[in-house]
Amino acid sequence: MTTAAAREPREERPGDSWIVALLFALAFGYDTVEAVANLQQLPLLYLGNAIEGATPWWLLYAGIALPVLLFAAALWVGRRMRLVPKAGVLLVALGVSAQLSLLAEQLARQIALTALGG
Amino acid sequence: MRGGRGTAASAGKLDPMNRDEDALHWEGDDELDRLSVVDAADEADGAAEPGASAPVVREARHRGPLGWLMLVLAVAATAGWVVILVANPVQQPSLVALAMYQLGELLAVLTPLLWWFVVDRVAPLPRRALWWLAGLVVTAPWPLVAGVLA
Repeated sequence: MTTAAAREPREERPGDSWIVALLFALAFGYDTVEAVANLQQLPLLYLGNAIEGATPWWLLYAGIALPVLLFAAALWVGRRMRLVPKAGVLLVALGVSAQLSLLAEQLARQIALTALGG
Repeated sequence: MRGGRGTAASAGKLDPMNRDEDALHWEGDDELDRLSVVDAADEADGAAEPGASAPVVREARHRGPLGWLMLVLAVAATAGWVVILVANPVQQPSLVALAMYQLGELLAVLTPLLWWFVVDRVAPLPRRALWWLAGLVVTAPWPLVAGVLA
């Protein structure tokens, strides 16, 4: 009983960090897949509106790179942390990835509207 | 005689009490015990090292005026993201894609507050202000700014 009580707050194994990192890798991977789909489909949308010259390639490639970079940065920041703080850092990074995805969407919309207006 | 029984118990295969203990014993528990010792040593190191995460032991973390100001700004950023999402038209090809998109939107809205909270709980005290300022810049409602400037 005493041993169990003493051990209770430390039920953390080295593998737990890897499992959490793997789960977050799936979420960041989903963001990357979405960005790749955008890279395939958005140029067609611009082509359909005859504004293919205004296709924001830099934005599309940045959209693919950013989730990977954010995941790596979160792992680096949380490398010496315990499980829960590490998961918190990864969750914040995932949120930033979602915010940047929305920003990219807004910028792509603005670029298309500017090209159509000009 | 006593010594002989002790030897049999330490062999552990025939003693029913030991079988019960075996049933409650998980593979890797020994490693866990060793890990606790390593963690205690890490904590002792971490107290002296500014790059280490906060120790588990609860301590008074005074926020000060800067902390509360940053919280107010994080709430303002969250409100900005709510405005963005209300104005954002959503078109997704499937129900799953729509659910994932809206989950991402929810996460985007909560991120300024999440950043503030994680920094408050995790960041070492000397670097906390720097991380809060970084969060203020990174999680600002930039699509709103991009929309206004366009």
